[in-house]
Amino acid sequence: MQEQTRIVGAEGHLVATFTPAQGAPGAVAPVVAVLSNSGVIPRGGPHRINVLLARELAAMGIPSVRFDMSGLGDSQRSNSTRSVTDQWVADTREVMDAAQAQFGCGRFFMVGLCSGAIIGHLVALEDQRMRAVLLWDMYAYPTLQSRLRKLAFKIGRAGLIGSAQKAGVMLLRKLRLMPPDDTPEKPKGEMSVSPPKAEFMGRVDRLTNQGVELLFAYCGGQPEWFNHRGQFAAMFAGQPWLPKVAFELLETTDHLITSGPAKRAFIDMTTGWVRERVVPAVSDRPALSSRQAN
Amino acid sequence: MTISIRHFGHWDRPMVGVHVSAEGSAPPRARFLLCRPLGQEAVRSAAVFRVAGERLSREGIESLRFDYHGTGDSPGDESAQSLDDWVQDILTAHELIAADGGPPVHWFGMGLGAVAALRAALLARHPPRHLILWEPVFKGQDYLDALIAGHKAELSMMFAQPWEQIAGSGKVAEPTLPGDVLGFELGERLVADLRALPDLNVLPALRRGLRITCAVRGDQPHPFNGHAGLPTLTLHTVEHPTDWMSSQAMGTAIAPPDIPRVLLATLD
Repeated sequence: MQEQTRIVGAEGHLVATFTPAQGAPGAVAPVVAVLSNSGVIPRGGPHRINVLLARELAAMGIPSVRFDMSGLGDSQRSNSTRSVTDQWVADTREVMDAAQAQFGCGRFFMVGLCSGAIIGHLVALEDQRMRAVLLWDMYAYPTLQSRLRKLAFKIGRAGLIGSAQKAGVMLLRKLRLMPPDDTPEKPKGEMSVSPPKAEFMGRVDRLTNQGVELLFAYCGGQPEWFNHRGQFAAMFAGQPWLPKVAFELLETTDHLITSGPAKRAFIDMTTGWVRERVVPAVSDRPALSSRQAN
Repeated sequence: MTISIRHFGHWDRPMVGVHVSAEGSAPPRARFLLCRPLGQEAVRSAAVFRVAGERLSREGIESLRFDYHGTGDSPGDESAQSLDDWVQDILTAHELIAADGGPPVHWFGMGLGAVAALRAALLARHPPRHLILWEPVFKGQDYLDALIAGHKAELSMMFAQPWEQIAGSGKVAEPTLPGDVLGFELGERLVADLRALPDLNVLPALRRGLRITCAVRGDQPHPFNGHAGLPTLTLHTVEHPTDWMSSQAMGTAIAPPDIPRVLLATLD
């Protein structure tokens, strides 16, 4: 396997590493994997998960490209005046063009880690070459049970006495018997805010109607946000697309996939989904050029 | 500023690097070889290296940043590496950037990369003009202890629970060395190297004629205070202390501004 890192894109500012599939030379791959940043983490991914994943996928006969979006990792900033989100969507499509030229395959799936998941599903809405997206720790919406579990978790973590003290402080602040907490709220970036649930559900509806495979995958390390297996079905209850998408909760994996067992679980989940859902879904559909894909 | 990708190294130790040219039409004033730290510290400091390359370019200086074999985007088995291997990788990268015998070459090494750079500087046929050691590892065992502590702190933060609680729930296992610590596989050879690592000593390099700048955090006495009068040794106190082992910036600088400033000061 000979990986190749190159500078791509019309502005010549994006750095991408191409990993060819192992196997018969000249064989056309069924699909190409797109891997990218998680937050500000470079293209190698958190704890190098994208590098490991690229090598596992190559052994399965699937080539990949991992790249840094504008201003991240080794890629330079773009001269464009687009918003950050629009720029990163455009970057991804440019990298898909380069990968299509390199590997001769116009069918893609993206492993979107956190902010990468946001970009991945937005690309799929714009570009029909993106046939599947893994959405790792993307949006979650609270339900009654998730709120109760969050409360129980907080009480368990702080202990009964600690929880009673915190509740007391909150009450005193509410009654204005204590000065308010003047800790400045952290500014939220463009990527940190979930869209209204109805808007997001509409996007998923469009994607599933277009035949895009989606895997909603959550880590077990965010108990204040997504905290039990049933939350997924509960927060999207009644949606017609619910039976069409895949869902996984990796209980012992943290958001940044830190430990060896966590990495193994993530890789097994991803390769299993690719083998069972992505490859069969893309195999009977024609490849598109970037012009046809809009 | 123009960046280009360099694939280089011996056939059995291929590596990938990013070369940043100097801005302007004049020949470069100097060249910098930028040596990353290891593991999570390399991930966390990636922006430091990009920003340093950009700033140096604007000042008419070329740079090469690269991933040691078995790390980052370079090929290789992460768990099969050693400190001596990475010393050789630095020498190989130096040969690449200094091949035409052009302007003087300076080295910047961070964390364990500083230790490897200091060792490489003693072996280089044409040593660098100036070596900047940024928060170098002073004692190997202390570094291993810090990795274990960093692993527990990171996972405690990720699971939003004290280590004892998440370990008790079976979500995580006690880290061991050699083994998987803080997201990276530390193999037998590297752990043995680190356990046997002598205290960092700059005197042999200074005797070789190198100029050295050493930056450490201000919350401890500088280990080289005893050599402070030496004309070729500059001591710097880090102005923006950062926990490079943590995935979260926690309000600290992503690319501390004193790093490019110190790099440029070595040209005076």
